[in-house]
Amino acid sequence: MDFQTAYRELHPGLHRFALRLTGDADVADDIVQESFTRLVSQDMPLEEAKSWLYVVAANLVRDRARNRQRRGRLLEATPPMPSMPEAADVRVERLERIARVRRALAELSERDARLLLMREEGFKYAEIAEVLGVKSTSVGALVARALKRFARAYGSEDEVDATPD
Amino acid sequence: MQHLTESDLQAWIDRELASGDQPRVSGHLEDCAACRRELGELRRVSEVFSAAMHAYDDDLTAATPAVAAVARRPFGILSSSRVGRAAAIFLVAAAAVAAAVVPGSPLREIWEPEAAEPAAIARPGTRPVEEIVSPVGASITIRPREGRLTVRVRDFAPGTRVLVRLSEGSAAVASLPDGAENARFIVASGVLELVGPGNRTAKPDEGEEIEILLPRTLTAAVVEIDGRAVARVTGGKLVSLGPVVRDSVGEAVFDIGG
Repeated sequence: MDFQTAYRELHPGLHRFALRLTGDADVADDIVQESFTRLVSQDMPLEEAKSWLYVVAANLVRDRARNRQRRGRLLEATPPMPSMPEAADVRVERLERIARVRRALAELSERDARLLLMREEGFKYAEIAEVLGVKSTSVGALVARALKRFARAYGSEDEVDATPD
Repeated sequence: MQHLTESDLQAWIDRELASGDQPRVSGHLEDCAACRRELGELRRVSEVFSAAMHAYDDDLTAATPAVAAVARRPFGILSSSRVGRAAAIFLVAAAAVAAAVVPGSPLREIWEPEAAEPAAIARPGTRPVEEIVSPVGASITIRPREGRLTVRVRDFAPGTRVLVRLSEGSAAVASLPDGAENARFIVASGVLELVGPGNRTAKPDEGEEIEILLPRTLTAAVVEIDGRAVARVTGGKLVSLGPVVRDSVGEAVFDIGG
């Protein structure tokens, strides 16, 4: 696989992964850009690049959060306002939905958030295990528990929303 | 009776069970209602997560229109207005120089005029479905056609099974026998959004299974196997049209070559 092919195949998923982790398109752009830039300088078969890129991207997300001491704010971050005119109620509803997902993701540990997002990108258990430094035989249980935790946090907001005034 | 573990059940859902464990797990599931319930719960939370992520992608993309455009460009930061822009431009310029002067540099290809427009988030209208290249060989394709969503499965080896299932999520998803996922179509608010290349070829392998998830909210969808419609979704229900191996509410299994 040449670099161009690797880029074409891996860019969308890596960008989605970074975007979901950060909730910020500009930050995700920077992280994906930086990850591919680092890949160029690696002496690594491109076939093996996928896992490596996700590790780098996830670490960059973490480093940014730490360096700026704003992890909490990152998780609460709301994206920039769209440039197209949009009804205020539509915009508000969208921002509320985004915040709801981010709050549910914030209920997960960093490892579990990575775990679920990598699974969502189609990584095999063995690949996830290698990236996260866990046993591949543990991945299934970790996935199950993390999914339940996410669903509980995400679903509990429905219950709150459904509470009469 | 010892029940299956969460690990067993999740690995079953994710097709990660070791082949030696499959008879034990499937045999237990046939006999144990409690484990089937737990399996259903794990499937449910998995779909909750997937649906939340796809809606989240939708919302993030809609809230930041630059996402799709940037995602389609190699080194998309070129269009970024962020503080790191200058540094990024320097990096890109340096890479361009390297590409120009270093023989065999992989970057050379990136700077070719037709270079890398990665498959990215696109909406109908910005990426006509006709642009999707028809795959050759065993393949699975999801695309809108004549106002409905069509999932085509072609030329897989006899013995391949196709599981069609309704989901509560907002995405139509096809998973290939190798575990890789085909393109998703996000169906929300009347918008059909393609994420991914739209189709994919696969190496046929006898006895494997393809899983197709179709959102219950689809107004019209059809699944074709080798040119023959075998199932459709209408009014929130899955209707089998072809010979089925197994059929239950919201789920049907078809054999290829049967």
